[in-house]
Amino acid sequence: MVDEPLAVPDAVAGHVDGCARCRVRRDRVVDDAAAVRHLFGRPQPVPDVDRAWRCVVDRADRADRADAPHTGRPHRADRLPRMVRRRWRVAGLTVSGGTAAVVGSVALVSVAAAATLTTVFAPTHVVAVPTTGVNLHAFAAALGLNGVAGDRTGSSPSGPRPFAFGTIQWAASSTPLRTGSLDAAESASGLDVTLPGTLPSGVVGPPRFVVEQTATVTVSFDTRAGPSLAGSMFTLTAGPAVVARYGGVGTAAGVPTLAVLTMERPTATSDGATVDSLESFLETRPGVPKDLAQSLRLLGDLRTALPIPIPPGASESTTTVAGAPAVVLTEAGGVASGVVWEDHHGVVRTVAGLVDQEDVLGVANQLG
Amino acid sequence: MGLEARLKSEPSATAATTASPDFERFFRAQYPVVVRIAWGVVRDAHLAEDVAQDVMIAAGRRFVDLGVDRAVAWVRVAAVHLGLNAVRGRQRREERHRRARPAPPTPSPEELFVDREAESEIRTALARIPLHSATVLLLRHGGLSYAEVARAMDVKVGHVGTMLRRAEAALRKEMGKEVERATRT
Repeated sequence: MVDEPLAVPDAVAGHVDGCARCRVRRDRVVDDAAAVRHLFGRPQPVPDVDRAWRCVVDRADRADRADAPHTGRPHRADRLPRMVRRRWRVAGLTVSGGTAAVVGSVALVSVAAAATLTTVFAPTHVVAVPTTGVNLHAFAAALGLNGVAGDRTGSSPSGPRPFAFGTIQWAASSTPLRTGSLDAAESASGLDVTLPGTLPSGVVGPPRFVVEQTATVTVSFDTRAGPSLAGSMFTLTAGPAVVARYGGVGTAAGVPTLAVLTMERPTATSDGATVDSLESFLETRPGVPKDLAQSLRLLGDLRTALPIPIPPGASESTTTVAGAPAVVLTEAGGVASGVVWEDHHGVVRTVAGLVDQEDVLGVANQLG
Repeated sequence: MGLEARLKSEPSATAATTASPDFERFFRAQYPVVVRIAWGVVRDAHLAEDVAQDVMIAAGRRFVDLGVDRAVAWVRVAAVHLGLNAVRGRQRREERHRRARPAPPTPSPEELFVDREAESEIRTALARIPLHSATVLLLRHGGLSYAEVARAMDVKVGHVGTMLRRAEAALRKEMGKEVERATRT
């Protein structure tokens, strides 16, 4: 009755509405559920699976070598990587105690980190970032990005393109797949696509699907980026994604009225530099608009926040969809609306179209 | 013997298990879920990863015996158990420190930070309610569907809703008591 009110038989719902005792109980249950949802509603951490896997394999290797039965706590050496990680977090590079083993491990972990890719961005929730044409242009100019986007298709023959602090390279596989089959879209993308059971008035199915495969952008910094970033490389991976497009009553063929986007959350890896160093680099570039820098700071932890740019003239508000933070956008005049959220399985979902806010939220809540 | 002791007294994880592509696939798919569930208990990202790695190492020891499907259910429940054990261990340590050292005359800024207080109250309340209530709450709010919760806890799907409602009521009641205790001290 709380999680899926539509699944409650009418007879039961009717009885509860008419029975004072049942109504009180229902209200209490709804109240408890809302309170607990609020308690657990904080954005959750996203682990670095690559690093965790290396750590677990390493522990298993050492346990094998030690060939000793485990009693009580694991062997000290078994826990070393995690101790090192905690110490790093709590006190930077200060290694108290000064044991050679810990110092040696810090050095080894640092070398290993430099030689392998680490996930530095894996957002858990969406956050609105107001933008204007002017501040985006100024931001791009400050980084020397204007005119860099160029060829974003496939195995670009032009290779890396220079910008003010290094090079940028786009890669996207093949052209998008267009299909009328949900199965074909799911199989091509590897995503579970959930569609609404009920459409807003004026929107008609069946939908057509567009499948975009994974795209990557690799940014390599050279010495002009300063010592904290020089020689480092960040790779942002987005997709795959499936867009389901619905038509409208009386609209021309091919003009979508409502679109439902399902996308694997974007992630970024680094071969050494941290997000903190990238953040301070971005914020301190001369010419970066103060309001945009301030907006970036307000995002909080950049490793877990997915910024949703709010275009000029659009209004934004926040809500939750199935307990996940969501950003709702409405175009000036209310002609179009959209809602973006990341669900608890790391899938970014968007519902947008030429419908009002109530309609997009109605569809979003069906997708959960 | 508690679950934690049992996990650690069993044979070591072998490199052979972790080298198996099946286990790596299982690890990559389940690790984020296990971290999320553990975080629901311990409310600390790094401790949640510690707990999740212990769970995965233990799962590696019995992966061949369990098979993938049962291992999926096993790691989720184990994350709740080990998470709660970690919370209780931390509370015992904090209690010992509190007794050993007099309280500071004024609360630090961190102690005044409301979110932190709330996190601590949630941890304490979760450790006080019945284990199956904490488990159903953490699995459900860790993102599992009713069917997945039922599989992990080996109960019928139809029972999950009722268990969840009772668990939510129990947690709320315990949170109320926790707030009263905090206000008194």
